[in-house]
Amino acid sequence: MQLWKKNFLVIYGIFLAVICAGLLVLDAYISLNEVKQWVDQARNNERSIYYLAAGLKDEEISRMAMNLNDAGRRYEEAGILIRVCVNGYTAADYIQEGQMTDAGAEGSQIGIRRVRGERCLVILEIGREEEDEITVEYVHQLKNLSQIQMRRMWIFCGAGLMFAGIMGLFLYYTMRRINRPVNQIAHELRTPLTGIRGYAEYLMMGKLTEEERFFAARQIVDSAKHLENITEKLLIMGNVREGSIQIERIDVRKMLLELEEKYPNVEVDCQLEFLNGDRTLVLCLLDNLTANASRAGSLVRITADEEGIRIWNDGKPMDEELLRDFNKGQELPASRMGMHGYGIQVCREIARVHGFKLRFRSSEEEGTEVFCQISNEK
Amino acid sequence: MIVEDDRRINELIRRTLTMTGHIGLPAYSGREALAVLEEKRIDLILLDIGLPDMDGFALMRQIAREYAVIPVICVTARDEVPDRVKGLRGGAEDYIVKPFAMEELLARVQVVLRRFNKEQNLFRIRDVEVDLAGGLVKKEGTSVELTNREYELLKVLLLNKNIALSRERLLELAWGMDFGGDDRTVDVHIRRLRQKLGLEEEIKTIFKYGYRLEI
Repeated sequence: MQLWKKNFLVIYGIFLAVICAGLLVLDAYISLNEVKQWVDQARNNERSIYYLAAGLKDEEISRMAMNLNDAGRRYEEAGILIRVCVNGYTAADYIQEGQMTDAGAEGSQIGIRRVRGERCLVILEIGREEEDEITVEYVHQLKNLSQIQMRRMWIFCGAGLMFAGIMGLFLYYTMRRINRPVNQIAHELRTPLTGIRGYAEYLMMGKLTEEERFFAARQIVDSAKHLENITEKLLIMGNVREGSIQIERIDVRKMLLELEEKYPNVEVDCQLEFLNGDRTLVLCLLDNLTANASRAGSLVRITADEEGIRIWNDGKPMDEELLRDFNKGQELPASRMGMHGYGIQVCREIARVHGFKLRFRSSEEEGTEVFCQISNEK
Repeated sequence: MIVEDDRRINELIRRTLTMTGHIGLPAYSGREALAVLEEKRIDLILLDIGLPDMDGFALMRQIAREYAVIPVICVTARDEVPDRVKGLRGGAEDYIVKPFAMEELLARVQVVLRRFNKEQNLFRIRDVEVDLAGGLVKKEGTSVELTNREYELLKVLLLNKNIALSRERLLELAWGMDFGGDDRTVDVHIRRLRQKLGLEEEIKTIFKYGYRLEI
C-alpha cells in the first residue's frame, strides 16, 4: 500500500475515534440531564397528587374518590399510574398490582422496578396529615424516556457517520491530490532522463561517425532542455501550492502586447485595463495557453474584456474526450497528457489559486477557444 | 520492433540495437505497431506501456492472440510492483524500467532472443568463423583450440559487438559474478584471443575503460 494511503487510514482512524468519543460524551451528558429533569418532574407530580389527596381527605369519601380518579385517569393517559390510599381506604387504584415498594416508615422512597413487565420509576410516599395517613404510589413507565434516548443515539450515530464520511472523502481527495502529482512528475522526469543517460552511453560505447556523435549530443541537450522545462513548471506549481503568491494589479494591455510580440500569429484586442493576480503566474498561464493555441492553429486571437480573456485559434478541433477531461477539471491520465498536457495542469493550478475558471470549447466551424473567466473582486 | 511514442527514446533504442547487429523498426503508436506486424516478420517487440492511442497491456494481449510466438519486452516508466506483475502476467518476457542502462536493455534482448532461439549463432570476422551453437571456432577453415574462458570471453564480445565493455563488465559476464580476479586477468585473456585468432585490429582497446569488438 502506498504511504499516503496508510497515512490516510491512520488519520481517518484517529478522526473516527475522536468523533465517536465526542458524540458518546455529549450523548451521556444530555441523557444524564434528561433523567434528572425527568425524576424532578415525577417528584413534583407525585407531590401534587399527595397534596390533592391531603386537601380532599376531609371531604365525603365518594367525592374524594371521584376527584382522585379524575386525576388518575388524566395521569394514566400520560403513561403514569397512581394509587392513593387514605387511612387504608384505596381511593384510586390504576396500578392494580401488589404494593410496589416495601411499606415502611413515613417518608418517600424512590426506585426503579418492573411493573407489568415494564421498567418503571416508582415513588412511594407515606405521609401523615393531622390524624390521617395518606399513601401515594406513583409509577411512571420508563419506556418513553428510553425511546427518546434511543432515537437520539441513532440520530447521533447517523450524523456522526455522515460527518465522518464527508470529512473522510474530503481528506482522501486532498491527500490524493497532494500525493498523486508526485508520482506523475516522477514518470514525467524519467523520459528525458532515459534520453540523457541513453545517448551518453551511446556516445561512450559505440564507434560513431561525426554525424552520429553530433546527433547524440543534440539529443542530450534537447532532453536536458525538456527536463529544465519540467522543473521550471514544478517550481511554479510548488509556489502555487504553498500559496506564496503575490496579488497585484496587472496591466493586461502590456502583458498581452508581450505575447503578441512573442508569437507572430497572434492578434490582440484588449478592452480590459487591469487584473488582480500574481504577475509571473498569470503571464505563465496566458503564455502556456497562447503557446498551445499558436501551435494548434495558424491564427490566434486574444480578446480581453470585463468577463475574462478568450484565446481563440482556427486549428483543428480538439479530441472530444480530451475536451471533456479538460473541462471536468479531472487529472489527466499520463498517457494522454503528452507534451502540453503538463502545461494544462499548471494552467489549471494557476487559475484555481486566482479563482479564475478555465473553459474549453472546440468545434469544426468555430475553431478552438479557451475562455478564462476572471474574478476581479478577489 | 520498437513501440515507443517518444521519438527520441525510440531512435536511441533503434540505434543501439543497430550497433549490435539487430534491425530495429520504429513504431510510435499501437496502430502503427499493428501495421508493421502485418507487413514484416518480427523477432522481438520492445513495448512501451504508456502509448498515446491504446493501452500497452491491451496491445500486448492482442499481439499474443494474433502472433503467438513473438516475445515482448515491456519498457516503461511505471515501476510499481502491480504494474510489473500485470506486464509479466500479460505475457511479457521481461520488464525494463526507465531510465535504463543501454547495456541492460541489450542483455535482456539477448536473453529473450536466446530463449526463443532467435539469436544469431554464426559470426564471421574476416577469416574467423564462430559457431556459438556448436561451440566451434575456425580460422581459415581449421579449428582453433581455445580455453573455456577464452571462448566465453569471445562469446561475450561477439554478443556485444560494436559496444565498448568495461573490464569489470567483461569479468562479470565471462567469468561470473563471484570470480575474484582483477582487471589484469581480462587483459591477459584478450591478448591471447588476439594472438590465436589474429584479431588485433578488431578487438579495440578503449583507453582506461575496456574493449570493443568491431565488426
